[in-house]
Amino acid sequence: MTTPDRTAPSAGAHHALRTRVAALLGRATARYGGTEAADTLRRVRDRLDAPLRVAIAGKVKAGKSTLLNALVGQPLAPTDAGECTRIVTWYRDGLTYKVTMHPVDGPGVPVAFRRDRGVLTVRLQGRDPADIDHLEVEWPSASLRTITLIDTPGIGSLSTEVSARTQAFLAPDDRPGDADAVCYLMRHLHATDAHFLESFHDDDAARGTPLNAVGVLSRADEIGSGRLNALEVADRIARRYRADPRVRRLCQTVVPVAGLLAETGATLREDEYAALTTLVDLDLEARNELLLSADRFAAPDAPVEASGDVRRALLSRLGVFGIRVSLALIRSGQAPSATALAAALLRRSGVEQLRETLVTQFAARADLLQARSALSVLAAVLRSHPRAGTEDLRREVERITATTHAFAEARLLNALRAGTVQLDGAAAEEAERLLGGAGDAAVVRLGLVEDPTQDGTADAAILREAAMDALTRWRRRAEHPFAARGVVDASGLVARSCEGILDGLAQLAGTDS
Amino acid sequence: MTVTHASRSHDETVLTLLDRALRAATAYGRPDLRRRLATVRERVVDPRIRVLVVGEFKQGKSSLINGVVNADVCPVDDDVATSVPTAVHYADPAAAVALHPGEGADDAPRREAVDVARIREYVSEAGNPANERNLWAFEVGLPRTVLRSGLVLVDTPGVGGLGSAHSATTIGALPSADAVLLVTDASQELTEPELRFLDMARDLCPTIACVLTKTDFHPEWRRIAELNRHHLRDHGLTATVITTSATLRAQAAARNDGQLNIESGYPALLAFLREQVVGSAGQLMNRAVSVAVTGVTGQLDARFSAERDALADPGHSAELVANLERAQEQAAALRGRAARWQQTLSDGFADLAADADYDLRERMRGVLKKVDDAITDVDPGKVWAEMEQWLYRMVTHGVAAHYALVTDRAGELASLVAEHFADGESVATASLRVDAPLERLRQIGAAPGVEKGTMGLGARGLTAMRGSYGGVMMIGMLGSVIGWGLINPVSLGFGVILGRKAIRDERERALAQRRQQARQACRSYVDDVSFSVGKDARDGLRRLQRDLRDTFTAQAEELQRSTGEALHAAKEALAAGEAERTTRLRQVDAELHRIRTLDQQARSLT
Repeated sequence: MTTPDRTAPSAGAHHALRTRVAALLGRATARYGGTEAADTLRRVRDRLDAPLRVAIAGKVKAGKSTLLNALVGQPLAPTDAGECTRIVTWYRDGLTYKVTMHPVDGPGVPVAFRRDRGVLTVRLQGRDPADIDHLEVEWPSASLRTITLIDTPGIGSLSTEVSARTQAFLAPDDRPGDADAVCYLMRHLHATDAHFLESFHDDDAARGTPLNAVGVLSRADEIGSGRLNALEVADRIARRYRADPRVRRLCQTVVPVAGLLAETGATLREDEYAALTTLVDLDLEARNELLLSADRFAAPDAPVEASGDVRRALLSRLGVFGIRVSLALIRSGQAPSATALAAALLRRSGVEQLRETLVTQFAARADLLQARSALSVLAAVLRSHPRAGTEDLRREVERITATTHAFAEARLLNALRAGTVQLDGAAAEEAERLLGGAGDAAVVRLGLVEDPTQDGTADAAILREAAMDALTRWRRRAEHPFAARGVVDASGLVARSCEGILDGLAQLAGTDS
Repeated sequence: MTVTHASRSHDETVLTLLDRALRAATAYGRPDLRRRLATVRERVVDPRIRVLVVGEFKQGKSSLINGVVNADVCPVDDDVATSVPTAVHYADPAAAVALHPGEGADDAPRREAVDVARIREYVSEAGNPANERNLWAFEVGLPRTVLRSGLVLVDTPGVGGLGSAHSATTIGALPSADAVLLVTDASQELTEPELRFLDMARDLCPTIACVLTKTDFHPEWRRIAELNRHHLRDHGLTATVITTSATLRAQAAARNDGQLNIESGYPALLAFLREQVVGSAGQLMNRAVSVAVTGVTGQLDARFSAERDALADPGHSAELVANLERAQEQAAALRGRAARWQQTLSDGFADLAADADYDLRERMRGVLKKVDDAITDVDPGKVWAEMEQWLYRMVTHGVAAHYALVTDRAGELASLVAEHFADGESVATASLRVDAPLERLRQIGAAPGVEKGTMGLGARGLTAMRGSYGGVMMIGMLGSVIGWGLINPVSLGFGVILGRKAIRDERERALAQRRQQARQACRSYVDDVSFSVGKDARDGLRRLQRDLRDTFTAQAEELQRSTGEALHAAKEALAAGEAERTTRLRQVDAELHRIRTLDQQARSLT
């Protein structure tokens, strides 16, 4: 995952924050020397230097493992029509291929594994899955270098124990969660989804912000019974969710992804392409007959060249929609080779857009998100293990939480979205953007690109002018004699964000020259 | 009702039987006995077997109904489509009616005839977003054979969407449904909310099926169906799993392709509706018909039996007359104001009214207590929307359980009163029988008074339909309307959902104020509901009491008249001469034979 070349004004500030938090953690570890709390704090300190942890969560069968495979680019996690993932599994970059089992009680032990057509099968050494806290898969992969992905069992599962584990992992009662951010998959937004997201984005360092959650409208290829325009429809639905205030309160944005298309696009084989081409040559009527239903497509006695087994395999790899799209792409000449088809499927799947969103929303803010996680763990430790001589640490945590502009931005964003602070429609929209609600880069904050996930570059002079303009306007709003108290405070904060953008631009100009 | 329903014969023999009983009542000069028969006959002619089609959204509920009737009546869209509960029933020619709220709160809904071609504008999310037209419900009549049996398919807005008050609405409509089809697509096995719904439905509705849709699109549908059967079995649910594809059904219709139609799974679904749903509703109907007809034949039989006894055995005439006179005295006593059943009835209702009042108060107090506790742990400013939904759900469940309890108790009371009549001592002639008029009990649950926010509309919509679709049998269902099962799933509570929202807010004062306001708002909402439900239940009970009194009085009158006629006939028989007696005996035997044949036929219905 690469960070695009963009001006992120607060990057410097965020880095400084990380340094400050790291130093604070160091002091706290020394203060708690030799106790259990010290271990916790040391782990948190180490976590600051590790890649950002993004959990993939959602209701059962939302397509979490499929999406994980698509993001990694390899079919690592097992997927199945029935409920499948039952253990929280971490996928992180490493030097060697290695799987470690972390039991609920006791230290992690390396376990044997094998790969069946790419899919990992792990031997649990006769242990009950309920006794295992999580599995850790180390896998050398460029995609995992900046982000550690965590696959979780579905919520809303019939096996309540499975659901409870995800809840316990992501939003434990007694301590801050292990994930820095969450990528939440939903097929349609249900009440359970909303409740779940709520319980996650709440912690005390920067309480109640949707900063660390992105919504994914998953299995987009199944919308509209797999007609060829399914993905456009999915896009429309995602747009509606993005505009829904109830959704905005819970997550940054909602992007549609057809996970199966993405997974297969990333791993398409030549023989699969060849099998598809034999189907393209059928005449229209025979093709329509074959594509009528999944059963007919996989029927062993269908009068086509490809055998029933081959067709059944294609079906499980692409789904009815994937096959329809692939055939249309090959027939129209847009996919003359396996590589071209794979690329076209990936493009259509929306996974690239998701990756881009993860970069703008999470990776670019990794410093901020990780500092937040670390602070909340530290605060929890200070609360649960009070001990003489830690008052200054507590004060420092409070100071950082209160004075860090990025946290204030997050709080205000949340207040705006929850409606507890109210600005006029257009002003509210601009404020959210300037606060970084759509992305951290200066161009995005200043509203100089249409789509925040598209790369956009703008002339530094234009950026500066726009930032100055915004600063003047928001200062004026903050000083308006008739403005309500809440509006004054909010406007002042937005003006500070404008100043931050200007600072960032000035530093950038400094390093350029 | 502007829609004309073609006569849908439930079953020819049943109608013939009823008509013969009606003719007999007229022929024997007993028009008073016709009333009961006429009520049952109406229901037989227009049975209205309601099938609720429920499920999470985007599972294909509307497509399923369209598939059953082979027409595009319910709007289908890739995004959320249905915004108003829609009922599809038989009518020829096709017709559509929109139900608007009446002027006053208690008024019947206003009915607006709508061009069938313009249905989408009324019921789809696109044409009527978030039900801005403020409709209660929508009815579509279609000339389809499958609907002729009186089947009414009700499309409900999805359960569990963001405005999840829908689910409470649907649960509220369950007790009046004859069957529930839970629609779930083949992309995944049943989820916990779906099974929880089924678990609740099983106590409230006699027939349940789980319809697996979109089998054309999901290659693994057979496995999913198998998994679902396992889940159902594990939860002790007896629901049938039916697999369908609306896409294939439509294709089959377009191509006139029988094989494809079988692949679509719809023939199996239609068979289920015909055999399980219509069939079991038919059985209930048969029982009601049987009870009504045997009630009439019993009264007629009493008179002719007395006459026959007198004719056949004049030697014991004194004993016979004395017996009959005692019976008549008792019947007269039953009619009197001081009759013991009157006492039981009025005392029982006084107790019931007090208990009902207490029950409702307790339930609402429990809800308020939970809300109060929840508010203590959260900032209502942030979670108000969820809180509101939660409150609606709890209140609706509370109210449903309250109505169920009241209905149940009223049923027991009615049976208790009926015992006074059945008592061997009070009525000497054994064939005279009085049944508790259980079908009257429906009126109690007629208006759940929870009508705030979006849910109110939906709930009233389904209730409005319940009203206009009256006539559905209460007999036989009463035992299952217990409603306690409803309470457990929601009482899991807000605390679990929001337990992690514990807050440490430095601005305690503002927070305290918000909490105060939230408590106030919840309390006044619960008060409103308590008031209107309390009033509604009290009115319902008063209506029911009056109704039961009238019914039992009418039955006492019938009884008195029957005993009177029996006595009169017996006396006349004793006065008759020998020759006359022989002729008359033959005639009476013939009459008795006719009546007993009718009675036999009625009994053989069940």
